[in-house]
Amino acid sequence: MGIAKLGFLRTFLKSETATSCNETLFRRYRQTGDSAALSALYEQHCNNLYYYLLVMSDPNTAADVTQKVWLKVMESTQDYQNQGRFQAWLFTIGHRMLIDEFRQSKRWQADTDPDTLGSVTPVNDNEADFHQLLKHLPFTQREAFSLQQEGFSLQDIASICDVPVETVKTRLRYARNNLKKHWKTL
Amino acid sequence: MNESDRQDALQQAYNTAKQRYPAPGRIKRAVLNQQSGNQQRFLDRAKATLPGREWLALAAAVGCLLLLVKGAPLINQPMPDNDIIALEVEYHGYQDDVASLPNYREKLTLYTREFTRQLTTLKVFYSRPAMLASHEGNWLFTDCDNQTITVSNELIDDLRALQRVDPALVDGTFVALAFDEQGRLIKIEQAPIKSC
Repeated sequence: MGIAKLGFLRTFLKSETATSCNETLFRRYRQTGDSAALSALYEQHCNNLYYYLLVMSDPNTAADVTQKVWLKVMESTQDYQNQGRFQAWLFTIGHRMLIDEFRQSKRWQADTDPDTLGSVTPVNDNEADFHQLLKHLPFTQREAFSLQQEGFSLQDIASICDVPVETVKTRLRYARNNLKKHWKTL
Repeated sequence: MNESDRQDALQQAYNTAKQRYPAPGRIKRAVLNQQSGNQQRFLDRAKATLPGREWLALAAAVGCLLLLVKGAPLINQPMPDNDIIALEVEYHGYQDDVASLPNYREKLTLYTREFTRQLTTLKVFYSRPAMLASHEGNWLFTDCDNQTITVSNELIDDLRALQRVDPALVDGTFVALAFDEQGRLIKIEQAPIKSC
């Protein structure tokens, strides 16, 4: 129990340190346009953002949107108001840009029908790739699950996806159940 | 496997999958290239807002002009007649002090003669607006600060002899008292308008 608490405390402190570091870097970039600060922020978040977008789309779209998100960050430094929530701001931009991208290419379709929430295409038994399994989840479940794995709280996910917290909980429950059914190690 | 273990296993699988799909390096290059461009544009804009050589030269010229105009009293440059450039009451004295004469009257006579001689060449250094309050005996003037200035009858006579006192002055007339650079009264003339 004591070890678990210690582990939680260490995780919390690590998270707080990372948040503080993000804020410091972003403030420096906003005030001075320092390329090194931007580069450090990019290194810290690029893989997380890219993978979230990759899970939600395809490699080309994920790369394009990732690039657009960072350009947007560079252009909109004065718009950042959420002190201490840089990562949430980054992923909110990512979510919106991805939806815009789908709408422009006419690939967007609402995937919120409760009847389809539980359905997932069965994965090939030989396929041991968790990434491919994720891709078979419905869009909204996939998104809620990915954001949770990126460390966001229910409230953060609700804010990024612009849906109520209860909806996020439902999506997460369905996503976990689907993954449990099909992921071989569970 | 309990619920917590299942959560950990999903987290582990997600992180493993993420490591297999890192962001392509071209994205970083594109972002940092754009940043370099932004920084260059920022510097260009900053340069564009700075004044050019011509503007700097003009600013320097205006600065010198202001220094000459405003700094003139500091370097005791004589000014044209009737220019009001200071209102301080200055010490009345003579350039050539005669300390060897112990007798006050002899010294005064010498000073007056010297002063009279210089009146012909003195230039007005500043002019002080005032109102003639009385011109019986010693002349009394009241300046804008209601300070009383007394001018001896002898000095008035000397100034009259040199046509340096306006003959039309009567009580209540506004005048300009002209002083030389050493603060000596050298001219009294009627002011065209009420100066205070």
